Amino acid sequence: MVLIYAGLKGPSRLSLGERIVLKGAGPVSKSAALGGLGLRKFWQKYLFLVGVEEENEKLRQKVSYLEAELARAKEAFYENQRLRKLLRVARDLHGQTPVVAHVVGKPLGSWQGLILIDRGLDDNILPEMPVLAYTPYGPAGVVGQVVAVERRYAKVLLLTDPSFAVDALVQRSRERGLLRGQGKELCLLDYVSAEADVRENDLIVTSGLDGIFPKGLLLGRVVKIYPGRTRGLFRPIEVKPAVDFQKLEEVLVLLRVRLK
Amino acid sequence: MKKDLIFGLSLFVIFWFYQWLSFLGLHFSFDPFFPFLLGGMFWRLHLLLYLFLVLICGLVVDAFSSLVPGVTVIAYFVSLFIFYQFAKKLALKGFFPALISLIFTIVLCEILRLWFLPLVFELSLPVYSFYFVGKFCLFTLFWGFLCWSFCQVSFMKDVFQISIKEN
Repeated sequence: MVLIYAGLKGPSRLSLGERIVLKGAGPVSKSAALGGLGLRKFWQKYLFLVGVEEENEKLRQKVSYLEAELARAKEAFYENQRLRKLLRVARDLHGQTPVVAHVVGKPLGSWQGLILIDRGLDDNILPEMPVLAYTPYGPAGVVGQVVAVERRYAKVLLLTDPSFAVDALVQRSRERGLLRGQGKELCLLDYVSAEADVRENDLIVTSGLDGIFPKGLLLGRVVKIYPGRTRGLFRPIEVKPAVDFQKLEEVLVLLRVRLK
Repeated sequence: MKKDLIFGLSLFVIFWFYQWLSFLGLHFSFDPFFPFLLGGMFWRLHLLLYLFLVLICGLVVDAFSSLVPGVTVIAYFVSLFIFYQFAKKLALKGFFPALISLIFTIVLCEILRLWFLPLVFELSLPVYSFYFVGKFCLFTLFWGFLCWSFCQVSFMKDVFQISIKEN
């Protein structure tokens, strides 16, 4: 009860227990994250090398050392590419100050869409700040929103969590709605009129009216439109988030707070 | 002392591996700690240390996965208390009572943790919340059976030891 009371008293502040646990478990989770990501990359590279081996056995033996070096160089190159993309995203956000953070923790046996990042109060990160990432569609995509912070860590509520909601626009027709998480890598664009002009593959962007997310950030793409007036006057629309949460490694936190 | 250390270390390894596999791209919908904590009840650990480890595990799950603090801690303690009552009052006579108590406790814990307590604290649930909770119960049960097998020497043996003593 003390834990809950402490959490409810200031929902954006972590309880004492959680803060202590994060201090201890954060680095452990970070080491697991680095280990997991490292092995995944190694595995991908290994499979790639097996394919080469089958085609060109003799050559592979001769250049195996060089390939190992190349794999390392490639790794640095890919990281560089990812960071450049993030930088491009940062440049697009005129006047916003972004902080790059690494994802160091994923949900532990829960349906809730939360991740842990390795930046916190020390980097001026506060609750409600928007979190973005690069998307295959190009511009900055919304990952979620900071919900709780500790000195070196912050908890981010993902776009797909049922508790998440953001004011959204259909980019092509400018129809407005409320995008809410559905808990399984899908979101629902709600409160869109049944007569609204929405088509499959339309891009959904932030409207900027909620005062948290800047206008025009990519949220996702329409994948399914329910026929008719499924919910009274409105027609729910299924949206696939633009950001691939499974492959999320680095994110940008916008140092922007809502004016109250 | 050795048992305490092994138990604590096992929980640490479970946490590390769960996160490691998640970052490897393999996400499993199950509770990594609870079945092992259930098994640990029969390891006859120092009570205070055992309760402390349960608290830490609950806090870790909450810190990493819950918007509301304390939900997992409450669910773990309530479920473990009920499992303790099963073990004490029914003495888990034989394989099936032990199995049924395991199933009951895991299902109860997951319903409390993922569905009931979040509802009490007014968190939004996914559209097909029963599907999610059902999936978590099922996979946690599989993990429970695995823990059961892994802890066979100390867990199952102790279960039957209790029934032997009672008889």
